[in-house]
Amino acid sequence: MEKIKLENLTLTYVDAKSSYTAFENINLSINEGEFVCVIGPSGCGKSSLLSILEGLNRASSGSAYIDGKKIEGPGTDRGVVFQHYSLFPWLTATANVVFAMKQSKCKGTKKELMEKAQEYLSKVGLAEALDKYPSQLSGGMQQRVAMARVLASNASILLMDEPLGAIDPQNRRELQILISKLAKEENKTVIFVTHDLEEAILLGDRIVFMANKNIQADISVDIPKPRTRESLMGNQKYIDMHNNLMQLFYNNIADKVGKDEVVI
Amino acid sequence: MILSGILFVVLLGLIYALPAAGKYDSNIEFVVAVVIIEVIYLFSYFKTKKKSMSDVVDVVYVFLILWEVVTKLGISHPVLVPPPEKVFAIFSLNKQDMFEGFLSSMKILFQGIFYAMVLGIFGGLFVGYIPRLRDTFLPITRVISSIPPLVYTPYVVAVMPTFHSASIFVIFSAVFWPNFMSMISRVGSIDHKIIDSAKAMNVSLPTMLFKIILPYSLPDVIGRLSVSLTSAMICLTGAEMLGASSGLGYFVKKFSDYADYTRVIAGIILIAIVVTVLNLLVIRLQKKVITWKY
Repeated sequence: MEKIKLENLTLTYVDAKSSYTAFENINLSINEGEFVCVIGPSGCGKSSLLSILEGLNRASSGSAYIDGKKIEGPGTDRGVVFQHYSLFPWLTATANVVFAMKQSKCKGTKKELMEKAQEYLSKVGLAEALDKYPSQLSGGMQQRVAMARVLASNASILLMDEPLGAIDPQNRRELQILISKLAKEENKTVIFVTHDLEEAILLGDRIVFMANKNIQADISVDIPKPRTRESLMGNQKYIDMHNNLMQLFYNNIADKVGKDEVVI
Repeated sequence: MILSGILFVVLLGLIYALPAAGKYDSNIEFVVAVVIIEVIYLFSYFKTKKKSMSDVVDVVYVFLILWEVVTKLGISHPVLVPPPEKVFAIFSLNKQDMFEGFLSSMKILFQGIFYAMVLGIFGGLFVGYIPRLRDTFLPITRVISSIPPLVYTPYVVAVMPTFHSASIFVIFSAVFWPNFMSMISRVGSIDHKIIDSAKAMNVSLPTMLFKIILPYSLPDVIGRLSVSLTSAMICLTGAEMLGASSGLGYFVKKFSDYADYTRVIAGIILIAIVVTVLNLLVIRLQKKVITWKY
């Protein structure tokens, strides 16, 4: 079933002196429960695309639909995880999750909400840090709270903007597996922006490659889930896909700066 | 620790043993004051284990010893530099006056600060969040808050119907404008990640203002409270010296008109104690209320 639909979507940032087009005429359809990774070189408009879905930006032309309804602004049907941990520093881990649940109109007494929040915090491996403030948590732990926050709220769509971009390798691996597992368990539709090819292939059902203000490739990842880093290593499909995507990256950058200068 | 102990003993020895040029009615108040200093010092020294505590109290004792010696030996001018015994004796002689002055000052102080903080915070919150209002009020606020309140105090005292209302108004404007201004700019410069995160949850305007921006700014607000307190105290005592009939500033002003510098100095010490205690309370409050960090 179609969950998200983008039709001729264009975003142009305009201010008094200049205007800048982030992307143009994007068309995309995403089914319910799909895990879509969006990759591309920086400045290709992938985060801007996400900001339309988040409702934080308005499209200049074209439309974006969720469940057939046009997106007019932020909504509780979508949960957002930003690259930079965006927890509220004056609330404990549990209170941060409860706040998000209240905003998304989760029903229940305060005690029930807290129990549910703590259940999700335990799921992301934070059973020991329920009452800690964000400043007392490492970056990886804060990002876990941010994930618990979107999972516990009623959002059916998760929008993740390079959520693991600033996380150390160890935590990054753990969180990749966790995201993949929880998204599946809770049947969430996920749009996951990253610039890491491996991560995209590891997580995505589909990979959307953006460059030059548009979608250049839309590839299904034909490798059965659950995937692990180890199982991918010798997998020929993985190697081919990785090479393909690498080539896309290469061509795109080479177009801009001249082929001789590109070193990947 | 050892040095301050020696200084403490020397000071007490001087108070009791050194013969004075004139006769003092009582020296027990001064002794009590010194003992209180020692007790506070020992208490906080063992609590915090900070070496600097000893240095501070050493300086205080050296100053008191000098004061004691200079006045007892008759080196200093007897009217301009009264002996510490006489100064501290005022705290029991004039305790009624002092207490009433204290109460009257505090009443005005708290009313002024309360109205100013409440209006400054909530006004700043609202004005700061709406770009058009912010752009309107920020330049105006910048100009007004740069006027030292003491400058318009005499005028306000003349214009307002009662001294009470005049001094509340002066304190109000001394505290309101800086708070209002910094709240506006605080709201304007709030971390956009926090705002985006809240917006993505589709929060309502009241939730955004009172559950996101207000708690986010609270450490700043309370941090400014001690500055506000000090500037309010400056304005209040200043105003009281102009047209009041009670209060701490009035106490000092009245006796300096009679060249009674013993009472003037006692009044100054009282004001210092009051301001210090208030500031300590604010720091306490800060630690209680703000349990988190950015």
